[in-house]
Amino acid sequence: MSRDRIFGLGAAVAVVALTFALEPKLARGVLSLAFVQATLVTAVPYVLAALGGAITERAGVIDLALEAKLLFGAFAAAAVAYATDSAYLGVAGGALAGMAIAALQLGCALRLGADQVIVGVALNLLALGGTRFLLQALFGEGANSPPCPGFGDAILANPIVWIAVLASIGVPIAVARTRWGLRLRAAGDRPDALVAVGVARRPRPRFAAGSPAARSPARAARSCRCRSTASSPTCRRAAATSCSR
Amino acid sequence: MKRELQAAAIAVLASLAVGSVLMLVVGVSPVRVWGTMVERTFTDEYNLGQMLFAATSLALCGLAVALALEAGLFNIGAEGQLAAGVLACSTLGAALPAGTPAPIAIPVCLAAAAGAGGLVAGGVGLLKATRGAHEVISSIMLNFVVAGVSLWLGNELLFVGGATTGAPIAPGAELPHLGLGGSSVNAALAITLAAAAAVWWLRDRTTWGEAWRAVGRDPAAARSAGISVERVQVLAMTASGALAGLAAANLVMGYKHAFEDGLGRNTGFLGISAALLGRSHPAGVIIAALLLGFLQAGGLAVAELVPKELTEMLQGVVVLAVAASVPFVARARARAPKEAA
Amino acid sequence: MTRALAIEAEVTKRYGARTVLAGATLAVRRGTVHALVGENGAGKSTLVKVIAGIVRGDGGTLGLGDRVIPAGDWDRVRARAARIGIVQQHGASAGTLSVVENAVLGAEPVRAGLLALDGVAAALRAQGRAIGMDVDPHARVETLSLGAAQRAEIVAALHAGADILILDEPTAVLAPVEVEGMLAMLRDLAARGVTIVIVTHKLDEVRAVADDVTVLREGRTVATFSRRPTAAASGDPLGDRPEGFSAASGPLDPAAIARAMVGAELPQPTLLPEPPATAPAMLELADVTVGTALTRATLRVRRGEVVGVAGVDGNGQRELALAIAGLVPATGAVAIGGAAAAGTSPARRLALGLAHIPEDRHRGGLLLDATIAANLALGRRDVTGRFVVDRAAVAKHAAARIVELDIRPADPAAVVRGLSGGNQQKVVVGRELSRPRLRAVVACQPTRGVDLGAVARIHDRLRAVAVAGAGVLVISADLDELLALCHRIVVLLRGAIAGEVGGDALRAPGARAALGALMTGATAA
Repeated sequence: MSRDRIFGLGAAVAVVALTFALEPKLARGVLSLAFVQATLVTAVPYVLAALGGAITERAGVIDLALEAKLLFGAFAAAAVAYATDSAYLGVAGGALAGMAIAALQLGCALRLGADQVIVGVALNLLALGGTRFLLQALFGEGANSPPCPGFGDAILANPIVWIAVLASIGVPIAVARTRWGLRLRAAGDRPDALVAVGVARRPRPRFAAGSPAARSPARAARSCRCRSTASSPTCRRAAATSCSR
Repeated sequence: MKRELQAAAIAVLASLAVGSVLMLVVGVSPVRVWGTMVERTFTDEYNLGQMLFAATSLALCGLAVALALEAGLFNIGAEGQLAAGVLACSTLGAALPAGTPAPIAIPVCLAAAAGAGGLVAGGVGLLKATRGAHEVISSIMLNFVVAGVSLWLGNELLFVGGATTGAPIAPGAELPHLGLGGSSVNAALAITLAAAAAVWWLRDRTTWGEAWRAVGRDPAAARSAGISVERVQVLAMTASGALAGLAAANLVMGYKHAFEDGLGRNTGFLGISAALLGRSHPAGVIIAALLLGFLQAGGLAVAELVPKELTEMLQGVVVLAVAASVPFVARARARAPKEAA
Repeated sequence: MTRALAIEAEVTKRYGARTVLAGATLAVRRGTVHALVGENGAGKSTLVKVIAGIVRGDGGTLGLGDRVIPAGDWDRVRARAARIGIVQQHGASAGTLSVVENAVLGAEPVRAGLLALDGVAAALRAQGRAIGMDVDPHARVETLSLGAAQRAEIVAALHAGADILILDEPTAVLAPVEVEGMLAMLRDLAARGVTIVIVTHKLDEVRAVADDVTVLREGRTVATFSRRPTAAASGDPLGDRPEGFSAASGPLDPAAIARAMVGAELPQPTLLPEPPATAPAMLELADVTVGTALTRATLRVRRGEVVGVAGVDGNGQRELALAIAGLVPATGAVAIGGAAAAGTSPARRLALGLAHIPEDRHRGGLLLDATIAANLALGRRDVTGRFVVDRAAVAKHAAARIVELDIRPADPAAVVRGLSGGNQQKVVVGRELSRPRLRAVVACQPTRGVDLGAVARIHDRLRAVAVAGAGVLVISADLDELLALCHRIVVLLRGAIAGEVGGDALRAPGARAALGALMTGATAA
């Protein structure tokens, strides 16, 4: 372990210790089983969103719009689950919404040639207003959707948790060991290398952006959905926001 | 220049179109909404003032992000630097004796706002320069730290009377309102214009600006040519944070006159759009801030016709449309001579 | 019928308003080594990229064997199918991928959904061994030296089964000994029936390896040469020229090739008189060490002296230059103009009178998206003023440097990215060698990838600053360059100074052999 790591870890421990010293209530809370459960459930959206971000990163696409995908994903998941009375269809709805945002992002960035960073920031803005607008338009209320079906509180019975576990094993293997992953990494590193071998015709991350980038938002969306439907009985927009952060 | 204007025209038309479709979806006449929005914003002094007030904060945050961007740093933490500015400016303003004259109180509070923002961002720059910590990560994390500290201090010390508002600042520290129908626009607008001019001058006319841009374009080349990349990073981040912190002057000294939790929330993020939309040029940032300010104030002015969420959403649409139309225009022009030949 | 020509191309290519190839022609006989020569910016790379399908032509035709294809319809997929392999100048490998991953890209063997790379890795190893180029298939490309990365690409191209192998400046990153091996390998491949097109501007190599030569200048074919004068008379592979095609053709003669390339005779370089032994040291290194890359380098450059540093690429040259410039942490003593500079910042060293021409103009030399004027004034407070930029002075400085080095376009507002390599390098040289009170100059690969005209200009400037009183250290992989410039040459081997050749020994016929031996460690100094 490098000195930098030790330094960083030490600083983190010191900050946590100081916080506990100031607020003893916190320290007692951390030791409870409920806290561990909550930690796991909270981690799921981070895991899924981070995996999605990691995939696009390897493909050379800076995905600043993860936030937008989470927000729209959460909205779509809640709306579909509410409309169909099925949490599973909600999952699908969330994933599809994430992919739809990715399609919009790719259309702007690749077809029109817009700056990836600006597109990402714009989509986040769009999602901030857009989800509220849609909530307002569909449910007549800008902050929360009505309660919708979820997966309950038992973590091990929650399919989203399992999706997160499988994804964290599967994604690294897919990136390192499959044809898809190899081309993905090549696209992110040297797009013209793909041109030189005849996989792509033009040196831009189009190939990479096609499938993988569309998948990351799907994961992101699922993650958000899980937070908003599984862990909390009400699909709260606020929850969606917090899980995306 | 012509190209930028063409791109802007296309973007505005595209945003109008998207907005109109959304209005049709919710069942109101787009012509009526747009007409009313323009009419109410530009004929009603109050609404015009509110637009300028919103644009003031956005422009300062936009300038902050743009300045850092020139040095190759993505200051995504303008939000937290603004919050630090709010905290410092309002706390110090409230601590000043009530009789403090304006010539002392105003500079002190401005310095507190800029200093607090600069301190937070300077820390980010220092971490980047000395430890190689990525500025996006550290500045976004500091957003949460500042927000947390702000709320905690508020709860522990600052909030008065069960509200989420602190004690009022000394009257001498208040920035004068510009009138305009009782709107919130105030002398911070002039400070903002001066700041924009200063940023432009620094950027285009001094060796500092040249060094910043050299580091932004290629740190290795800058270092090899004898420019201290680390010093530039710390200075640029500090200056950027100071600009974001100054936005607190508009909010605290010109508007709320007290500490309030969450004052100016999201302004820092919208400032990123203003910087990107304005293509990092100070004049562009001002124009972009005015456009975003128009959507904010205009949206509220037509709130009884369309939900305000719609106009919030339009801000994103505008940024997206501008981003997409700039390369579109560039390509169309590159194609044109070939077709003529 | 089997045609004698493997390639018969006539191509036009424009980038915006700029015509890069104006109907350039190339006819390559099957199983020969064909050299495509010309100055930088003549269109050599573009022509081979069109043939390899990497760049799409705007007009003209490509004849490949029996087929004639419009140049605009050709692409990499079809070129691969036609078994055309290309090793590009700066490589096309993805650095974060391993050699074998790069090699299989586009045709990945998969077993049960997962990549199966072991077979290919073994084949690459065998292929490399067969042609004397050892490769480690599992090494990440970014960890390899430029030369090793290029060898890996050649091996991969042959593994993919290239009938036509195009090499763009393959020797630019190789040491003299490696160049010999590479050229021998090309001859060997040609003897086995592979058609080779090699892009270069080194006439020694042309003479050593080429059967035929095509010279490009300003996007046109201006001359062709052949080792077999009969070929032109009997088979006339270069016949059927399009209307208006007026290339001269003749036997392979380096002097004639050089004339065709530049359109004029090259001036003979003049050697500078050696400074007196009593001249003060302008640059002094004592026991300078950089990690494991450079160990205890000790060196002294006197006023008016030009000292060369030779060596196979990757033997510590880069670290030596960076250590002098203060751009890497180093131990040991450095003195510039007699003042101790160890441990000081790059800015301080420049202030002491150092100028540093970095190894790679694209990495640390230039701001590619800034103008010529801005690059010439980069970090030059003596030009810009301390705080407020003196724009008149910047313009005057730019105009003077543009005239001095014949930078083209002669427009201070031109963006550097659009310049040819030679002109970009002139901008770097112009900025560095115009510093006031110059004491010491470190020029690292000052003319790498630069055309002959620019080389002469840059060499003139280096001599001029030496005459004016600076001590000049030239680090170069090009022995010809060092022999033309230097009073003495030291050799770096595995990060240490292995020896020195100077004085009369340097002008003696055996100098090249002596330096070559030092570079490979064949003799102790």
